[in-house]
Amino acid sequence: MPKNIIKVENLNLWFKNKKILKDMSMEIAEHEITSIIGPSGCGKSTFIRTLNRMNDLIPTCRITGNIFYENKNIFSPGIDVTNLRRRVGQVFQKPNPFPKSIFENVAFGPRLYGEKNKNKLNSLVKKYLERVGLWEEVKENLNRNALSLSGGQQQRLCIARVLAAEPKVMLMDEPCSALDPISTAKIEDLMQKIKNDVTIVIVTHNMQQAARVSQFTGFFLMGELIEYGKTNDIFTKPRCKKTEDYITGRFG
Amino acid sequence: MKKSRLVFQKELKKLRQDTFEMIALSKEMIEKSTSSFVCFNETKAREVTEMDDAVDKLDKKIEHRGIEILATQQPMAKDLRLISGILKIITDVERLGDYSVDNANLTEKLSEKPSDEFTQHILNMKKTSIIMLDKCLLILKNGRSKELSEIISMDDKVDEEYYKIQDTTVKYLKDPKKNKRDHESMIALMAARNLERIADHISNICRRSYYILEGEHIGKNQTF
Repeated sequence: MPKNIIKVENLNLWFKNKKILKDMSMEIAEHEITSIIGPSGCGKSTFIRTLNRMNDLIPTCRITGNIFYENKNIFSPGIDVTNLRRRVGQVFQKPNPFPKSIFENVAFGPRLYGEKNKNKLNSLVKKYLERVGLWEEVKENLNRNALSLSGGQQQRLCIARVLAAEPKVMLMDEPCSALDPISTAKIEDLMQKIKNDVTIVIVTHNMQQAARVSQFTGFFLMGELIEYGKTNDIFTKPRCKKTEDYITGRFG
Repeated sequence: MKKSRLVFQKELKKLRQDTFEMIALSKEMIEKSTSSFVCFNETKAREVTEMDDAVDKLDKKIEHRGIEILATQQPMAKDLRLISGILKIITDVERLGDYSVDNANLTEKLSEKPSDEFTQHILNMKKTSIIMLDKCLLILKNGRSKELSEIISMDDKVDEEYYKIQDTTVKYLKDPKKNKRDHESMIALMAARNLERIADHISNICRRSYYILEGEHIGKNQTF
């Protein structure tokens, strides 16, 4: 197992009195892609939202256990949550570009973190749009409203916006579920391209996608981590019967 | 647990059934071809040749269906191992049919019933091969892989019988009193060689079955 960037220890999470995550422990390998799979309502999205403390925004949420990001407990009182979310960025299921120009979307992070130099912003916007393979498609009119792009383009723009904040981890919550196969393939290629710089954790309902893109896979069921291991092993020879039943579609 | 992916399950069931049918046909061909050879029965030999068409048809049908299931159902884990295993197994089963046809054809090259010195060993080879195939088929059907290494080791018995036939052939060729039957001894050696190859292919089927059931090579801890 490569070096870990995130370590989860005995994580429990409740919304009101309902326990959503049950005693989860796992380690996320740096510079690898980790897939989280499992049926609807098993806690996948809640889990990845916990990794950058997005669940803090939900008043009824209560958490026990520890999550270490680069060996620092993200629940420690001294943690700067804004900075944590910069380092652990997130891409959502539905593309959510700001209702601004393409340029402003990508420049948003660098501006927020203090970059004012117009030339530097120009080159950063170009760099990250190139990174996500969008530059050639939009370079003629960067002032175009981001909402006028296609769904696939919008999602790549959102990834560029996250990358421009220079995260070390990118959480992707079903990033391709609303996209056609060509846009999906572009995002999957992009993930492989950036994984040397950004560790990726992806939640997906598409098991073929998990099998295609990730090196490690975790199977969640009713708030529990049932099995976690190398993707090749999980999809050819899972250790647990529950995993096998789920990935072979025998799970009713 | 509720049953799901019913169409897929039905397709897998059909694929398994066709594979079992193909193995059963090949088994019948091994028995019939050996019997035609040792009894010098040319009618039986012709029946074997006719049966080979059915085996070849099943081979193509299973391969086609297996690829269709891979393309349309995206099987995983044990289902994936079953289909990929079957796609390999049918190549071995098809070879069982081919070697049986070869032996049936050798019957037609005989001029008389072969000597007991050959036929007793040929019958032993056939008997062991059929036991191996029957046991393997049963394991594939009931999913218990425990006995497979034992079955594979039975191939050594078949080899031993083959070496005995080799020795007998050499003896025939060297002995001036017997060398007028060198034609018969060479044909018997060829038939035995075919049976020896049949047992090798059955061993391969056992190995594939182990992978289907356990997800790893027999006798090794690593996966493919």
